[in-house]
Amino acid sequence: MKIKTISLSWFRGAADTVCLTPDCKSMAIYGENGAGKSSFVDAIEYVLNGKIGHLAHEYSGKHQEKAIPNTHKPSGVKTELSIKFTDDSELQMEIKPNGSSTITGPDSGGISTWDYRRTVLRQNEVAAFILDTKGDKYSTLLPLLGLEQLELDASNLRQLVKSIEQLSKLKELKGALKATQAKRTIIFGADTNAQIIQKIQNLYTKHCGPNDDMKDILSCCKELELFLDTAIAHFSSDQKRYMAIHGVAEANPKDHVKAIRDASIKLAESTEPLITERLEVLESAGIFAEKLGASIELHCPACGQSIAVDAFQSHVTDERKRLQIIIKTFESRKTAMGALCDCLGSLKSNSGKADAKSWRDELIMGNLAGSFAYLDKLDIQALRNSCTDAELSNIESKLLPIVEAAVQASRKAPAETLVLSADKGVVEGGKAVFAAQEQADTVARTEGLILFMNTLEQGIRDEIKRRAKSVMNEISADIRGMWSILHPSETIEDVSLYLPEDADKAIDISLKFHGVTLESPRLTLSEGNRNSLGLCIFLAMAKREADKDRPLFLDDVVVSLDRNHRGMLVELLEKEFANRQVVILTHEREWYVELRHMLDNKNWKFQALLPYITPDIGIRWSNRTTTFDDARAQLIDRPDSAGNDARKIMDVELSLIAEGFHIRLPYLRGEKNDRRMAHDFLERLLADGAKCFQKREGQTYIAHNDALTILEQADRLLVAWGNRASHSFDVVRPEAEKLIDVCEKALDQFRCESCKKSVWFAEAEGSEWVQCQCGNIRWRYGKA
Amino acid sequence: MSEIAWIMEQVNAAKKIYPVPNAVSKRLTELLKDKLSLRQLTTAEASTLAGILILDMAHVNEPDSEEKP
Repeated sequence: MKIKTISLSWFRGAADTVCLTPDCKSMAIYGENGAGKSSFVDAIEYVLNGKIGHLAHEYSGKHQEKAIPNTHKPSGVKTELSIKFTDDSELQMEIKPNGSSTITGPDSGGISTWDYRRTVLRQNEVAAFILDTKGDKYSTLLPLLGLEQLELDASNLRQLVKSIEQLSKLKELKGALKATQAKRTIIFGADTNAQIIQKIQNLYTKHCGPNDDMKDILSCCKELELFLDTAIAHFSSDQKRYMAIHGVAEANPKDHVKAIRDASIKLAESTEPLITERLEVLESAGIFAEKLGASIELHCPACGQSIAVDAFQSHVTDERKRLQIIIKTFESRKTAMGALCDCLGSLKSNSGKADAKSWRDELIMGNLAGSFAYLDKLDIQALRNSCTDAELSNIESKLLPIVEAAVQASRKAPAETLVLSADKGVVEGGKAVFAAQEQADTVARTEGLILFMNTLEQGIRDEIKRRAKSVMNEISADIRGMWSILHPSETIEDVSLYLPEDADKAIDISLKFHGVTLESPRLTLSEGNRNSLGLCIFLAMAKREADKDRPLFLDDVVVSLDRNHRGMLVELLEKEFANRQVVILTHEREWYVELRHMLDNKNWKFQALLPYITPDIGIRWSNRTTTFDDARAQLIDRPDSAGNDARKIMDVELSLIAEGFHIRLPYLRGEKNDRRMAHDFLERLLADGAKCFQKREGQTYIAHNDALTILEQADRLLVAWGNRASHSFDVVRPEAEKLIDVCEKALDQFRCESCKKSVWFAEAEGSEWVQCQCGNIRWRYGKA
Repeated sequence: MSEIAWIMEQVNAAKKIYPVPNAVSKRLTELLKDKLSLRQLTTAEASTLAGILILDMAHVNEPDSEEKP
């Protein structure tokens, strides 16, 4: 879908309605800096993105309401824009004072499917793709690769895996299993499941008789537990006392305290370098962020070189790995803390039992009153979350004496008490081990599901890579083709997009620079070449959507290209985008003139903007395709500049006319050849013109003397006033005005009054002349 | 190969490496064919689907079979 008209009213630089009217053709628009060219591109961006990227700063307001309307908009008028398409459908937008907008005809021209980054390329965005992170490059290219659905599949699978982990409490379950495993090691050492079962079966036979019913192990444990509890309940008070004391004696906080201390030391060892490194990262990141605010170019604060995003990312990856090691140490510390708390819980519970009261009272009367007071007040739950070294020391100094006293006291315990207590410990441990089997099954099932889904995701990602590679090869071939048009026989080759092996959602660019393969163009390319490559990438991506017939807007994209490469860009556009609507906006007068001369005006329109005066006057079109209105704008204040501008316009215009007419000029050595001036060309045009410049009269052609007279007059004025305007600055307004008028009239002589086309059109290859479209005026080659 | 056939092939390939109940593979095939490729799931949607998949995973007694288009 092509654009017929873009109309702006009080939008950005526009005042009363101003229209850009390509009429579905391609268009080259000239305007000096600030003339308002970009307001039309802003309108496209606003429609596509709902905001304008270069206005995204704190002063433009939440909805850019301070920046989008013309600053001098009178009250009562509306800020509006409209875009009309080939099929006469029209999108209209009104921007309210608060920045909100209403839209009618929202999908006119299918505009909702246009992607800004493949529709508009601005001067400051030319190298954006190259400077983007690998992830952003991937996001930009993804819609072109046609892989959005697969990408969504993969990314949703990843999200589902996370939800499964959370919902099944996988981490907690694994933690509980780990605790049971630790308990098992304490009670059963390295015994296998079969050995544990045998031990429990033996106990069952010992206490409950033969297991004739072949009860399962958990049932055996439960029956045994009941039997032992009943037996213990029938103990004498003395036996019960020993049972409780034995429970206290079995608590082993010493080992747990040591485990926590060991983990803390490990943590401290790994934390110190981490903190040092993180501080360095933070310092660099701070400078990085500051620079980011000021400019797109980022330089390393240490060496002044550009910071490679890759290097930064690799640093982050290293940081993550280091963190993972620390996280493991944290986990083992937390497990040790959990074990200590369980142990202290058991200690507190057993020592607090009524059966142990007499023993406890004896100790309180002795020298352990402080220890029991500490134990009673101890907040075990709080200890699970935080356990300082001071607390560990307290536990050691206050509680170990209680355990030691219990160990001493339980030595006098009757044998049967100790046996039953030991048997109970085995049964409880066995029950925990086999009850955890269910948790282990849940964990194994959940992990199986996660592994299955991860495999599925990996399969989809592999396919994304395979398909992306194929499309990227095509885009890369286009980039190389375009690069070779812009930079024939230059030593940068094999420009390719590629998928880095170490990341899923990433794309990067590689190239060969003087035969050496480089992973990033940023390593060597000059700014000009980088911009040129960025332009090729943009155009190669735009070419992929040739079937969608969307317009392309190139806003001042040739600023860093030299004259040769600008010329090549025209060739590139004609070769690759002949059927697309391309809107070129430029403030480079010379290039605009070149475009006017080189591009076929059947498919191209040319229009110049008048210099901007005030916001209430707004954007204005010149009614000429030439740029003499720039010169006229200076007549009042700076007639010298006006005259000088007229001369410069003639230098550029006449050089292209002379080239088209194959005018022979004496050879000048070096750069002088490129610095010929309007007078040099006019002199030759006048000398050859008597025989070469012809107009049709009836069936024959006669010398176009009227035109030659005007050219002669222009030459005279350029020599007299043009040079004065440039060198002695004493041209007065009427002189400059006349100079501009005559120069403009002189250039008009090469344009047919009848068909309104320039003498530029060669009838056929090998033709002896160039002519206007209707053939009323022509220039015969080499007939001087 | 159509996109649907390709998805089934992927599900079956993953199932060969990590066997899961048919209920899970069927569910994921349906989700990949339809819901998962439409848009990014919300947290609530992901949580609901995760719950369903966890339940499906408990269907361990059915005979194993491949997904057929």
